[in-house]
Amino acid sequence: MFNAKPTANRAGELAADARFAAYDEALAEANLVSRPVGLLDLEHFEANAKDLVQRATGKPIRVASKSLRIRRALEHTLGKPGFSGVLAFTVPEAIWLAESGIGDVVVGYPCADASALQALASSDVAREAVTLMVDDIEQLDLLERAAPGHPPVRVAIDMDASYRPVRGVTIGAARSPLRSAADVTKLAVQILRRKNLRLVGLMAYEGQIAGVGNGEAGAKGTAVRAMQRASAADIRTRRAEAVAALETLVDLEFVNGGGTGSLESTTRESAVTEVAAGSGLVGPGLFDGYRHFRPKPALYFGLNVVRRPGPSTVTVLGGGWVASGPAGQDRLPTPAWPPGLKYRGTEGPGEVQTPLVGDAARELALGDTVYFRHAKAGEVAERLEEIAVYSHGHIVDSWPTYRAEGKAFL
Amino acid sequence: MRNPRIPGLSKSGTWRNWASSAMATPDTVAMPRDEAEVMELLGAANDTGSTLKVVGGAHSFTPLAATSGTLLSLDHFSGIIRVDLPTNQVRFRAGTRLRDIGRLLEPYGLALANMGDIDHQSLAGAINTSTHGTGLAFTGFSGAVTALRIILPDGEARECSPTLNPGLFQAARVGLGALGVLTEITLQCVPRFKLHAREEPEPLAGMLESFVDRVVLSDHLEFYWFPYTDTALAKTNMRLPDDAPLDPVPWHGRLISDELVGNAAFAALCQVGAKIPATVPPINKLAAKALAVRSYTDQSERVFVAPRRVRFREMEYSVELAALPEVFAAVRTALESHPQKISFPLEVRATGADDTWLGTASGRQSAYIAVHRYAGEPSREFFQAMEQVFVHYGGRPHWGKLHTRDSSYLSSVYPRFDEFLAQRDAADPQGTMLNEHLRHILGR
Repeated sequence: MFNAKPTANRAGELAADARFAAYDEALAEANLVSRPVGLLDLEHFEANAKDLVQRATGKPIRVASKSLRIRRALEHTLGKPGFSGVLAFTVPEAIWLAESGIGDVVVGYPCADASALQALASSDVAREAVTLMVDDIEQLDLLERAAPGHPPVRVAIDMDASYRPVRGVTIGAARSPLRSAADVTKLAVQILRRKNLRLVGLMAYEGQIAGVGNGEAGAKGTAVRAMQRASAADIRTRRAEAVAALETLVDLEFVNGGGTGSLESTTRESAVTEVAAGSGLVGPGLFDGYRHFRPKPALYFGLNVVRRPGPSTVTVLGGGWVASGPAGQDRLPTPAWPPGLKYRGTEGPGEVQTPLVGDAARELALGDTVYFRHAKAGEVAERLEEIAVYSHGHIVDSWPTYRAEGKAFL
Repeated sequence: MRNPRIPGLSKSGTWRNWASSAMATPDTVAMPRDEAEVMELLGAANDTGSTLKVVGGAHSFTPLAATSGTLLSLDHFSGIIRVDLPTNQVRFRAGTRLRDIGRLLEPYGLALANMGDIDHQSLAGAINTSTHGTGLAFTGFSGAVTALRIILPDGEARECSPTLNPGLFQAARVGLGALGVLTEITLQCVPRFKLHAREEPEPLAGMLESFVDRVVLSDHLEFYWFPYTDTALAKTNMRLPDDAPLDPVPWHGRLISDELVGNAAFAALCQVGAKIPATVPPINKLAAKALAVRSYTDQSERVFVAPRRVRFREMEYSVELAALPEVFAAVRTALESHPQKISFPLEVRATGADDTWLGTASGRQSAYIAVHRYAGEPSREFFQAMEQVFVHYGGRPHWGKLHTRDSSYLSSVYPRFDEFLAQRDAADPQGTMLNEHLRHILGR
């Protein structure tokens, strides 16, 4: 059967064989015998980082922390040319990152948590480094109520970047209610009329380009690519108009856009000063489906084979680490090694155990490791304490996850 | 090369204004996209001894913008450049049309403090001609200018304000387009507000007697008088905060009063009057009677502005506010004894004094009397008769409306006329910005 496959694939398989064997050896060498285990392939991670910087063509990349949730990985990335600042997902996270020395943290989402807002307002370090995201006057009022008369806080405006080809059809995430330059201007005026707020930036995230795979063959792939082209033209115009309108009021420090999948179109907009990316560093399962780039898989989790229900079936302990988003097959972890293992159709990956079927199962012994990739980049860190960092045949470091640092932000 | 779409420019290259009271055939027309292009065009006109005029909405009745040299439109110079929230001062591109300003200012929660009833003009045109609305607590557009940017014929830009190039600033605030090309204008704006308007016919005698007092008490008072009748139509606008509830004119009300009486039906009546002058007095009595009391509340820019689709010609003079009853009586006598029958109503407004040099309300509280003639009727003799009355009372002509004044008269009614000339001559020594009309009124 192997002989029937194209030689290129065969070569790829042999290389992968060698690589996973090296992971196994390196983990054993480092005495990391417990499973589950997290493994970050630093060579792939670095290659992905280089590729992102190239695709951003000169605009700095703000690292989306939700796609890593490993402080050391954030710091490692920020140390490279082409990366600058963090796009965080909660205010407590941003405060923590700022207080641990990261000087530029934009919170990508609004916050209605009075204690978090109060903490931000009362931390000199955080007020200096952290930018709050707002898209509603009520959020300004929440901040003022949480910390009456607080010293100046940095805020940025989130603008809706979804694509609406015709009335009633919205493609993209439901985020900000602010759609037009006039909408953004109205909120900017409200911000600037408050003496203790500093408007420093604008953000618009075109998730329908950045986060939707476009590599499918046939009519669906063609339709997705056409939608993404039209949406890119639309957001280009709207973002430029919004920036022009804001520039009548204030000199912005940054205009943020995009994500891993949209770097090419976002960075071409002259109104944009920086792009955001995170998943592209990791190359999770959902990022296999793009036509214009292909990140290398850099983060795996390994589970133990614990039983053998039948000759071509093995069961690993754990595995049901389903990704967020619309529930579906694509949210499941991808069995990565050995090749050819599949979930049982009636069972899927379970909360404690996951049966896997396929020829490769015949070769697996109890105690062997099966490697998986998570569908999304950051969520796996919520399941693990340490990530073993692999480079050139050895585990060179071990990075604690947010979870290990006692930080369960969401 | 195809000519850009400049208001009033025909395919054959002839330009005429809205009222067809001015015509010219420019040898070059241009719609520059940026300041560098303006500098180049103006510098070229200056170097070759040619002339250059800027046209905005082409709404001036006088040939202020007429030129056989370069005709330049600033229609690409539209929009807001900067808003200073602490002071509510807004810097506009100079070609911004007044009709766009309400929409542009809305997101900032700001509005113009006052407007006239026509909004086709560009901002540069409005300030260069001392265009105004009504309201004693307010000035015309020029009075609200706090800074401006002008390209002079030497091809250089000058920033002007009360402290920066103050002489040029004062001259250019009402500059008649005779100094250079305005590219940016900063206006003092105000928080958005609503207006409650009340339109009500009332006896003319009482209106004239009380106008000077009432204009103090009302935010914006004006009235129309249909010649040969004893009725004045008062329009009183009171300012309300922006959170006041809307009560706009219902669409059918707008249709009947504005569209039929104000425009279409009135145009038909004007045509009848033009053919059979004897019908004008009875028609006017009918028109005055047809006017109903109505009141409405709307966003300021929607109340200030009224649709005007009947083409007319207009003369407007400002006089001392206190002299209004006397001047109006003299105008009425002259009008009613004039052999031509006048169908179009007169309009009376007032503004506060301002400190501009050539503003029609410069240094004095002013009342304005505007007389109109339907565009299909001869107007020269009638306007001559009216102008005699205005001149007798030291009136100052609106710079964009018909008049025949020359420099010797104008210098007698504008105390700072010579200072204006000195600034103008220094800014444009070769007369690149002049045309026949300007040479006449400026004595250059």
